[in-house]
Amino acid sequence: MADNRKSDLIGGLMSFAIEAVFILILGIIAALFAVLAVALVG
Amino acid sequence: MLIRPEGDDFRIIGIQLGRIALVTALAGTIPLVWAIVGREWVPATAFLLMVGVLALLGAASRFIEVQHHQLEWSHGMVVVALTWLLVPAVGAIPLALSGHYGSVFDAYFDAMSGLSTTGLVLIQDLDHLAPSLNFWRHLLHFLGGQGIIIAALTLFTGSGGTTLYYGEAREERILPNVRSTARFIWKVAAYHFVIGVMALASVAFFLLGFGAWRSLFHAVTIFFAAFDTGGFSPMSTSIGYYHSAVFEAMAAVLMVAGAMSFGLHFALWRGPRRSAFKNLETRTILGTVAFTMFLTMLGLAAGGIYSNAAGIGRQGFFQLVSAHTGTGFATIAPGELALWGGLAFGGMTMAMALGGMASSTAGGVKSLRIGLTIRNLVNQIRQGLLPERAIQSTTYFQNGVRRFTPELGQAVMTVSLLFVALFLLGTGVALGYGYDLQEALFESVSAGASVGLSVGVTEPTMPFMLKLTYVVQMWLGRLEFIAVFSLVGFLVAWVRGR
Repeated sequence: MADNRKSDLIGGLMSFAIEAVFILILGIIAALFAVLAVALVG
Repeated sequence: MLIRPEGDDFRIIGIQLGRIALVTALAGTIPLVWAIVGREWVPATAFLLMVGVLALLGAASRFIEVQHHQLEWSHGMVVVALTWLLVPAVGAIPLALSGHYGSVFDAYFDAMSGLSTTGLVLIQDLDHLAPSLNFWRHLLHFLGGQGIIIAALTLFTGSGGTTLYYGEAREERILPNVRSTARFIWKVAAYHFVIGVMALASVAFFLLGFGAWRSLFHAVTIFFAAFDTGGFSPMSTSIGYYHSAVFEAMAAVLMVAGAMSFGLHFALWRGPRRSAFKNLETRTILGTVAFTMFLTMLGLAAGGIYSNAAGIGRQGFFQLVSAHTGTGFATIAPGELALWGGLAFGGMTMAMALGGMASSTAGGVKSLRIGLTIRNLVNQIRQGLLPERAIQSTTYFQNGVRRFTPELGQAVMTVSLLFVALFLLGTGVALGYGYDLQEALFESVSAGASVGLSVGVTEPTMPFMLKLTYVVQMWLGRLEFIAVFSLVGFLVAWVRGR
């Protein structure tokens, strides 16, 4: 029971961390796209 | 031949609806207590009335007796379709009595928008709404997003849970039975609630200078709207109110979490994590997000609305993530969004229509169907190039290797086409009232795909028939047609069956 709770806690935190990293990467990609878009048509 | 439903069919449906009314009454006690503690006496009276009506309906259903308790597929579908019509009707009572709506139907519109996690609003003077009522609007997102049905399944035992679960447009059963799956869904929501609210409240308190209570209020309401991909916000200027890139990033994390399938959540929690990224659905959504984001950025750069790449990147990124996840948060006013023409309009509309992942709270056609549609198209082309007698067997990876059958391809194409028809319905009605094509299409896709971004069409003065059309779109889009079609079939059988 305690092991389950611990693994859920780690899993939950890990899941949230992956989502945050994903947004960070997506934000960097968005910034690159914006620079590229301005260079192409701006 | 149509078989007319018998008395027991109606009684079984009544019992299930009664259970859902009790769950909703239970949820309604939270803003009721809030209103009493906050000495908001007018909202408190309205909440008391709402909870009373729901409790009465729930209690009445306990007296219904049936001979055969078996909940069949058709019963479950009818229950789900009716739930999404009746809960907004009762849930609109406190809103309608608040004095912030032009008519009772406007309050129903917002309640439907809340429950279907759309986010389009007709409320007036939102910035002066009582906190308990504002909380209730966001709780409707949570109820609709997490699923009242899921709540009922968790609280009540009994047969027939599967049909209710699937009726609510959920396709994945992660764990061996529906009840344990429902519990896992609540667990994911609870963990995200604790971490998300703490993060949002910290940003509001330390960076924005809000007081402790105000930080918590904004964090909780924004969490409900973001994680359930709803799009309501406590202030009329949506996320633009906070003027904070960090707050926007936090909201974006929660929007993405809400648009993820519970299968993907399960893989991230308990592994194997790598296989989650092999899934057709994950790869499709990564591709469509990148594609629509680039289109939007190109359009914004060409349109010249923002003077530099930083402005284009920040506004384009947030609005696009909000559109693709089906949330509907905005950092710009509807009037400014309406200026996003050309490729930016195309990218945003496409993102809204494509939507999030299956079995999430996001709306739209959804990534798995898009991935399978593309796979179907490739198969058709490949079949045309192969010798006549050649038979090709195709597989795809989605939580394991699966076979792509013609029946699956047909089912996917049917739902995708129904979504296109749904988007065209709202567009046609708006065009009939003299709106131009771009705004008519944008708003219609926003309503049908449960998004909530607006270019200014949705406002209290818009024609009644257009409001009604958007309500129908929100209802059909959230339930992905099958439950609503089952209800229509049930009614036809009742009238014309033997």
